[in-house]
Amino acid sequence: MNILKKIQPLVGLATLIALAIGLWYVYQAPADFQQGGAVRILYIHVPSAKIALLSYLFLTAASILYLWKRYEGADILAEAAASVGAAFTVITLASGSIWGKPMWGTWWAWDARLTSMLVLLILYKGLMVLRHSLDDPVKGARATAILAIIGAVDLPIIHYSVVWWRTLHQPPSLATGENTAVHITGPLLPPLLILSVAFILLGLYMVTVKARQIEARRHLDALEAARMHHDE
Amino acid sequence: MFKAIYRIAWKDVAGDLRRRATLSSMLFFAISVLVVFQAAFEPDRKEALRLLPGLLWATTLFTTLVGLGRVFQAEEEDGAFEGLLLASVPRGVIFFGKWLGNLLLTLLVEFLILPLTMVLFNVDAWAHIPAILAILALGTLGLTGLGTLLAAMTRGARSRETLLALLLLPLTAPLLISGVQAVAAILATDGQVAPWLKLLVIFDVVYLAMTPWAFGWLVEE
Amino acid sequence: MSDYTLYVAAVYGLAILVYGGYTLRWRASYKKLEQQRASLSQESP
Repeated sequence: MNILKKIQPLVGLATLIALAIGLWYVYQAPADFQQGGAVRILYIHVPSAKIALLSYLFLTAASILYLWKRYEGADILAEAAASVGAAFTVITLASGSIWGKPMWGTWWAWDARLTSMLVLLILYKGLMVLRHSLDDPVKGARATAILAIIGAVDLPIIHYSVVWWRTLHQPPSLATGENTAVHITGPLLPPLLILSVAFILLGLYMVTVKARQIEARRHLDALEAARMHHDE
Repeated sequence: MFKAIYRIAWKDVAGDLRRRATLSSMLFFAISVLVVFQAAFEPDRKEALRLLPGLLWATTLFTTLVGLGRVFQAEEEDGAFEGLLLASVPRGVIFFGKWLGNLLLTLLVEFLILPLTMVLFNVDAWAHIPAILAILALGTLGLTGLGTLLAAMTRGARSRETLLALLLLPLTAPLLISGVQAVAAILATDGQVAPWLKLLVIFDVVYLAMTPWAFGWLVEE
Repeated sequence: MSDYTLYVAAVYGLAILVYGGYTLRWRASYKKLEQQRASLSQESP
């Protein structure tokens, strides 16, 4: 995919600039009077969560395109998005957990968002494992694409079932709802917006890097297979 | 069409009943899970009543994995899966046939382990058996639908059983939540069952609508 | 700075480690694969 080679340096440069500006704003931003310095964790947590979900959307779109048109490029992008999305999901979970300790007094709460994120991480892992446990790469690609679409339908159901579970079954003893989780207004907003843009660029950049690596691996595998065939 | 579905399902179920292979492994696996739970938690009567919904659903989920590993086993052994696909039967019919066979075996196991659980854990909820069975059956429709698709997906995969567990368990989170809450509501007698039944039905409808279509994409050459 | 410095530092450190680490690893892997491909296609034209 030549286009990746062309856009990669541009996206990389834009990512570095946006990250630098965003982190400068974070450094300058005042501490929140309720959360104190811990609000700085949210500047990583919230954009990471956005990219973790956006990666899944991207992955679903690429999977549909692959099943429909059979473009190998779409499959490579889907595979890349799974790895990138998993990395962002890990940071979302870790930063949420580290934020929860001083704010909620516990590392983990089974609220709808954290639970959905955990399921999302297992789903990303499942997509990666499924692809590599089938010997035929085409079968692996197709099975992975179908699983991605099923996951895309399941994720909202999971989210709402956990919301119902927490509200109907036992009202949350910890205030983990919309009110306290993200409480960013006024002067705290600009760094969040800039870092969100920076993370979108970062996610894109990571996808291009990973996609080129996957493409190189596939080329090498094809070359080796052809040579083995030739030797026989 | 229904005849074809029935024929595929019946071939699996009758074959299995004759050999008792899948059914007895599922049943003994379920009993082992129950023994593990008993040894791990040692619940008294009151605790056992509270734990019962979770015990039933966790045992059902784990036991389903055993059955799913074998849905396509007969065809894999004699290489007949490709033959089945070549036959002039629509893909959806093959899928529903396989699903129905797996569903019947899973339901049979559930019907057997429910009274067994009550005996082993000293729970007195005999009056609720029909309602609990209905909830289990309702959830099992979608569970086996999703499971049959995943079984087809992982055909010929390395370390397949682990892969099936990794793929199935996170996707069934809504089923587990709503199934456990529905049974708990029945046992509590003053609980709300309706919202959980609604969620179970949504789960069933979504999966039984999606999976035959996905199966078609999966096996297409 | 507040008492949360350690928590904040842990999050930023982890983010740099994971995002930066994976990006560098994938780039290095890409370069290595391309080298292997080049040497392989030289051997058998």
